[in-house]
Amino acid sequence: MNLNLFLKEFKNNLKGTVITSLVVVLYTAFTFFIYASMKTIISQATDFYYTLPQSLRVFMNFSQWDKVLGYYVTYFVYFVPIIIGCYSIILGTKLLSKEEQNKTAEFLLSRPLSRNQIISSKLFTFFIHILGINILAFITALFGSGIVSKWEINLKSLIILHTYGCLICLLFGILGFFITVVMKRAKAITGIGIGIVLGTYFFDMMIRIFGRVQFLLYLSPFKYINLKAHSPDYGFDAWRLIYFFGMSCLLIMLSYVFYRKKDILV
Amino acid sequence: MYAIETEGLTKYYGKDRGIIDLNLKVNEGEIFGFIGPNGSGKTTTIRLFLSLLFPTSGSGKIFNYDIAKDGPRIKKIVGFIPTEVNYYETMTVKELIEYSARFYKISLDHHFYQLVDALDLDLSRKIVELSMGNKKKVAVVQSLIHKPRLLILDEPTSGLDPLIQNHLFDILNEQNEKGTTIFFSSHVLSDVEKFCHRIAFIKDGRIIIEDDIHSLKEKLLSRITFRLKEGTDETTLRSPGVISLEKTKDGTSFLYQGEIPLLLKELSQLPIEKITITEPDLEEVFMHYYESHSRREKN
Repeated sequence: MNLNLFLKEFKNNLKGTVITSLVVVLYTAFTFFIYASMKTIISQATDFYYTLPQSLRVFMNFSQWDKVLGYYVTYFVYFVPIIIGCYSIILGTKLLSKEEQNKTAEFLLSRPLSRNQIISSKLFTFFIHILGINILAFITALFGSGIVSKWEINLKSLIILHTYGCLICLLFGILGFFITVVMKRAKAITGIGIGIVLGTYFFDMMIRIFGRVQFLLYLSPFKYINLKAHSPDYGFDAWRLIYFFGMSCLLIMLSYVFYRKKDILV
Repeated sequence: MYAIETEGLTKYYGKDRGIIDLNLKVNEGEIFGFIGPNGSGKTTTIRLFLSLLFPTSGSGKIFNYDIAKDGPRIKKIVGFIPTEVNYYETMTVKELIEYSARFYKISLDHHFYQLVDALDLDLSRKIVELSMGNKKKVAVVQSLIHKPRLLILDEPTSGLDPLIQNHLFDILNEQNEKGTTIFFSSHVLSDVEKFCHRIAFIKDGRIIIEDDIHSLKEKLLSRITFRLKEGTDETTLRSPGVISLEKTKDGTSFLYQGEIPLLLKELSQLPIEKITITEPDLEEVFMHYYESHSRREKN
């Protein structure tokens, strides 16, 4: 890794990370504020919940709402894997493509740096930013759920839930990074990146709602997040962790291999 | 040891030609001109030297370091000025140069400030605010701060006004006197002619000639212009070395390749009023080789 390049990249991408962090913190705080104000009517609404169609029940996950963690899980998926996931994939694609698009790649690659050092520095920047947002999201959720439940919280479940969220965000970003490495002429693929995150999410939802071709769920990274945080035996499943770590390591390794011999066409 | 040495260096972009079978030898300490029209493969060659691109076949070495394997080592001892300067626009000139210097683990010393003064560079301005010429000046400074053994210049004078061009040539000559080898790529023949020791012409990705600049001009061609006395019929010349014969307002003009006494013997038969024999400029030499190479290819 090269510290000089890392520090520049860290500084350059700070604005986007701060904005995303603010969105996540405000959204989380708002989520808990809503819960606090409707906590009293949740038990009365249970009967109404069972009158809703199955598809909507799957979507809302209302049955778990009597506990703050159960409620939080429903919204968690929107702001951690989706909002941070979208930012993560945008950041992942931007780190290399911006240099090629702005033609500063010629400057960077004519410095005494190896291709591996460039990849390592950019990926390290990416990890720090995405981990930072996820830690902030966790702290906000911890305080939000603690305040709402008068600190009757399941800390272990919250940590596990956020770890899964963090892993899927990292995977999306690494996927974006890998895509720009293998593209002949790297360009910003913000739209495609967001499309991948939302596309895999809706793909996952559709299969869950309609209950058919369940095996296709394995194609979506969302399948590998365990959202059953209210379950007593909630924990890390080896097969899920192997998927996230395996996919991430494979994509990182391939990024190094391809970038080492990539022609930079500026 | 050569500063640059390539053997059969070839680069294709898919099916498109970049350079083909490039064999170059640049001696340490010389100023080597690399001339060719746009799209001839000059920039591809330079990008191969800098490991921005990788060869399809063949090999290249810079101070004995392999261009495909030893990129970081090569770039530690090479300075580069690109044709089109694209730097980080939000940085100031000083921030950019400091950023560049940190990659070489050096700090900006009096050598840097001398360059800044010589080029009249404003360090506080942002890159985005700079004209093309000023960006080029930044490129010159950042290419020299680490005192490179080899300077690779890709069309360095484009965008610079004549005064700054002269400053640039002074700086480059000074660097060369200190032992820096200079690889000077350009399509401006007059720049190469006054500045370089040896040159290579490149056309359609192939080197068509590589030689010492003086011998190239001396041994090969002369420009002959003569005017016949009034009332004399037009004539044709039979000497085999006559090339590109044309009528101009000053009379008849042509390039001649061969022994001058033989030509003079033929010309003495004509009623010549005035005759001049001059050295051709490099552009004429280049065009001659360029055209004869094209003719050979067509045949």
